[in-house]
Amino acid sequence: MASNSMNMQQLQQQQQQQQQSQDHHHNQYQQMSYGMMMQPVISSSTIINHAPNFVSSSHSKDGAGAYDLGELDQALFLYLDSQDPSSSTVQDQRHNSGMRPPTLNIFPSQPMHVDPSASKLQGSNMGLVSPATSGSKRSSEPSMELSNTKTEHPPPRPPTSAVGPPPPKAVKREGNNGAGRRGLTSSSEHDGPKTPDPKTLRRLAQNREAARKSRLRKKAYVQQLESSRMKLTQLEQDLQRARAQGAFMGGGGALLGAEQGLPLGMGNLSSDAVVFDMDYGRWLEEHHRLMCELRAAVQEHLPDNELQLYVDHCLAHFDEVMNLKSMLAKTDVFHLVSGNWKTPAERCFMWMGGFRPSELIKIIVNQIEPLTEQQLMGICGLQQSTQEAEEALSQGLDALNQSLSDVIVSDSLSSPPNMANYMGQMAMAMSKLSTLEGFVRQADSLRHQTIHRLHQLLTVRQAARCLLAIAEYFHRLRALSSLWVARPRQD
Amino acid sequence: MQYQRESWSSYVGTYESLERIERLASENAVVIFSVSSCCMCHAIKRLFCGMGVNPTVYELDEDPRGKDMEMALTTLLGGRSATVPVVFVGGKLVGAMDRVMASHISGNLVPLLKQAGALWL
Repeated sequence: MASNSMNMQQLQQQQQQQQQSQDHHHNQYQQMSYGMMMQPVISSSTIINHAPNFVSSSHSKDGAGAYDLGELDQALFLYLDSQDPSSSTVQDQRHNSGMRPPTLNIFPSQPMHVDPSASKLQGSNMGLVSPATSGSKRSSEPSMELSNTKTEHPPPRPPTSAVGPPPPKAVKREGNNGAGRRGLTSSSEHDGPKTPDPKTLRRLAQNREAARKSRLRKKAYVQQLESSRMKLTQLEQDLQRARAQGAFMGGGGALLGAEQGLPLGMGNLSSDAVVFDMDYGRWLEEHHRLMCELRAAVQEHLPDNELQLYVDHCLAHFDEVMNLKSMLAKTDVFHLVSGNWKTPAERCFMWMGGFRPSELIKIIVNQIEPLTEQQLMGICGLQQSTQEAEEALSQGLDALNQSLSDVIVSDSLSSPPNMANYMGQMAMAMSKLSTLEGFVRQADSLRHQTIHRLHQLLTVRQAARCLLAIAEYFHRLRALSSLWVARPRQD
Repeated sequence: MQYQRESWSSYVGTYESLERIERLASENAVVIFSVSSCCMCHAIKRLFCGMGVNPTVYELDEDPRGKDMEMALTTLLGGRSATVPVVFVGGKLVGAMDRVMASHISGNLVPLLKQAGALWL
C-alpha cells in the first residue's frame, strides 16, 4: 500500500511539474484574481486536473490508489459551485494545473457541515473548505499522503470527524462542476446547476469504490506488517536466549545423524536456520505453483518443445533449493541434518540432510513407463550407482561418528576432566565435526546429479511425469504429517 | 589454504612431488591418495571396494614426503580447500570425491574402470 501511494505521489509530482511549466501564467492570473480563495481555487483546479490522473493511474494499477477521491470530489464540487464565476475558467484550464496547490487547503480543520446552499458556502472560508474531506478518518490518511507530496504548501492535516452522506444537491453540484473528470467536461459544462450528470455520478461512485478497496488493502497490509514485527521480536528474543545459554558445554546438541532432542521453543534455531526455514517455505509455495503449471501443460498435450520449457523451469527451481541448502551448510549444517525444516513424515525417510536418491528412483520407475530397453538399462545403472554412492557416504559418516566418539572419550571419561587434555580434545572434536559439512555437501551433490541424470535419460514427457510423480509423493508425505499432527488422541 | 613459498627448494619439492605422484598413479589401475584419519577418504575407499575394485591407496600422513605431495595435489586440483582424497584411474586424474561421484552417477566411471582393467564384467 505504501508503495502504491508512493507511486501515486511520484506520478502526481511529475504531472504537476510538467503542467506547472506549461501553464504557470494561468495560475498567476488565478492567484491574483482570487485573494484569499486563491489557494483553494488553484488546489481545486489541480484536484480536478489531477483527479483523472489519479483515477487513471489507480485504475491502471488495479485500482490500488491510496488517494481517496470519494469524499474529496464531493467537497471539491461543492466548493467549486460556490465559485461560479471562476468555475468556467477553472474548467477551461483543465489541463493545466500550474502551481502545486495546497490542494488540501480545501480539507477542513473542522467537521464538515454539509450545506447545499451555495450562497452560504460562498461566504465562509471554512464552509468552503469543510466539505472536502468529510472528516472521516479513512480519508484523512490518503489526504495525509497527498499532503506529503505537496511540499511547497503543506498545510497541517488534522483528522476531521465523520460526515453523513452527501446531500443530493451537493451531488448535483458535482455534476455541474465535473470539469476535471475526463470525458465529462463537455457535457457537464452546459448542464444546469441542479441536473446531475449520470456519467459523473457513476465515475464518482467508481472512485469511491476504488478508494474504499485501497483503504481495506492498506489496512490488511499494515496488520500483516505488525504481526511480522511481533514475530521478529519474538525470534530475536529466542536467539538471545539461545546465545546466552551457551552451546559449548550445554547438552542436547544434535548428534551426527540423530534427531534433535530439544523442541524448537527452546530457541535452538540460529538466525541462518530461521532465514532458511522462511526461504524454504517460500520455495515450497513456488514449487507447488510450478507443479500445477506443469500438470496443466502435460494434460493439455503441449508439443515437446513447449513442455521442455516447463520441465527446464522446474529443474532450475530445484537447483534453487540446492543452493539454499548449500549456503546453510556453510553456517548451520546441524539444522540441515536435524531435518526440522521438513515435516515429520518426510523426516522419517531423511538421509544426510535430504531425500535418499536411490529410494526416489524406486518410486518413480513405475510412473514413467513405458521405457525403452536403453532407458531401462540407464535407470538400472543409475539405481545401482546411487546405491553404491549412498553406501559409501554412509560408511564415511559412520567412521566420522566413531572417530568423534573416540576423541571425546579420549583416555577416560572421568569427571571432572583433565583440563589440560580436555581443551585439546575439544579442539580436535571440533575439527572432526566440521567435516560433517563435507558429507552433507556430497549428499546434496548426489541428489542434484541424480535428478539431472534422470532428466538426461528420459524423454520430455517422461521427465514431466517423473517430476510430477516426485512432487506428488512428497506432497502426500506432507499431508500425512499434517494428519498425524492433528490426529485425535485418546487420553 | 594458501601457502607462501619463497624458497627454491620447496618449488623443487613440489615439482618432484608432482613427478612422484604421476609415477605412482601410472603404476596401478586405480590409485587413491588419502590421509588415514580422513573420513571422506574412508568413504571413497568403500565406494571402490563396494564396486568390486581393488584400489591402491597411499596414505600421505604415513609418508615422509606426504606434506609436499599434498601440496602438489592441491596444485593439481586447482587450489581446493580439502585436498584428499584424490583418485587416478588408468594413470589419469579423475579428481576428488565430488568428481568421482559425479562421474559414477553419470555412468562414466564404470567404463573408465573397465578400460583401465580395474573392473571385469
